[in-house]
Amino acid sequence: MTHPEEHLSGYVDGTLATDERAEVDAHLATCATCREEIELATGAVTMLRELPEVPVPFGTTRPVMAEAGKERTSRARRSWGGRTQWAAGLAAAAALVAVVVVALPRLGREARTESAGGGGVAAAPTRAPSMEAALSGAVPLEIQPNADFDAMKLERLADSSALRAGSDTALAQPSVKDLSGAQAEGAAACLAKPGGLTSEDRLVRLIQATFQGRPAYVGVYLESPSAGQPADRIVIWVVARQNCSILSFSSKRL
Amino acid sequence: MPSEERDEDLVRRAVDGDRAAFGIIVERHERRVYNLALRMTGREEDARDATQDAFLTALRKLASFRGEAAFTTWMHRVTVNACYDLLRKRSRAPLLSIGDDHEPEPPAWPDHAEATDLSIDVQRALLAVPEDYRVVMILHDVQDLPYEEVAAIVGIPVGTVKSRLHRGRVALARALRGGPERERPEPAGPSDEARSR
Repeated sequence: MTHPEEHLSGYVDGTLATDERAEVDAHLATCATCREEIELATGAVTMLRELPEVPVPFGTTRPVMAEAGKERTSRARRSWGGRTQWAAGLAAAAALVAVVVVALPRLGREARTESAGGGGVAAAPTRAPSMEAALSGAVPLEIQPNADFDAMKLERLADSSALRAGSDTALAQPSVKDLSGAQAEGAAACLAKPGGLTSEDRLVRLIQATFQGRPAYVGVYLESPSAGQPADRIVIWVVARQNCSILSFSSKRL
Repeated sequence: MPSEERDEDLVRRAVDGDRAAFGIIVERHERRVYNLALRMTGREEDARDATQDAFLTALRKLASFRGEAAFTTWMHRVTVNACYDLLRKRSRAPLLSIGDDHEPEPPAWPDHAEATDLSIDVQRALLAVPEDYRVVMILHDVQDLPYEEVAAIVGIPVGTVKSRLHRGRVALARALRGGPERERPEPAGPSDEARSR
């Protein structure tokens, strides 16, 4: 027996023409399988229609709008209008930020940094990252298992980073676990993946932490208005470690 | 009123770099996009990711939107693709597939008042239905789109939409009953032996 499969959904939906419906009715009179399925499908439709529409969680599309702003600025010579309301407590920032590594990664060398602990988790609480690291373009991955970022903390991070970069001081007090270059590279690639980074963005900090409880990479970038010009903005991107999707964004003018 | 502007006009402005226009597009569509993603993935976290991916893709490809299809159709297609990508990525992620491979992860459901026990059960059963059937059910039965639009979004003939819809509904009802996920056997025959092949 052939079943009128294409018409069974229409039968349940009540969208069949009269003759089609009569055809299906005739079939149903002789086919227990289809009768059972019609019953099941009718029940399913009732339940599916009752599924509530769920409100979009707050902030879901914020990274998208941040990206839209970025796209626009790269088009319009990166003039950042309306993005200057980053007020935050600098004192609180000091508490949050254990380390600030302001490296200038594009000073021209290709050399990879030597990992302090051969790929392990060599805690070097008093040792500043070597100048080679700062100059080589490699930014160490700072693991901050206890740091859970949210939008507010990101803004503070942007503020404090802007402060350091603005004074042009490459100071560091790392309580970090410096990892192998490969891991840092993976994190940087993850941050670059969703797009939006341009060649004028220079990575200065790479943090492995969580964002609102989700495992995340936080990348702090120095952004120049255009190639060859000094950086005028700190931009922070947060991506999920799981799939590199954007979780959040913050920025601060220097 | 900008909110009454046609999507297509907003797209044109957005392509020209008007961020506010893009903002209106996002605002207008985020609810449908998010809910489609939520029903497809079953997890708030994944739905947020898929929503962001969909809009970021839309943003990047906006210029390639030619207006042959309605913008909503196009946006739905982008969202469906984002969901498929995410589900594929998730099924590949080794950390997430530890344990019983067949059992979908229980949805990490938000604490919304609307999320009744029944809707949680229905959502769980939806995840037990193959993705290709799931997507047509969500678009047609949950989001109330006509067959033709579902066909345009998914890129399949209308007849296929109708038969997938039926199979999906039956599979959903059976999953809700806790019964085996059975599909109609290709050769006609009501016996269970013929089905379990």
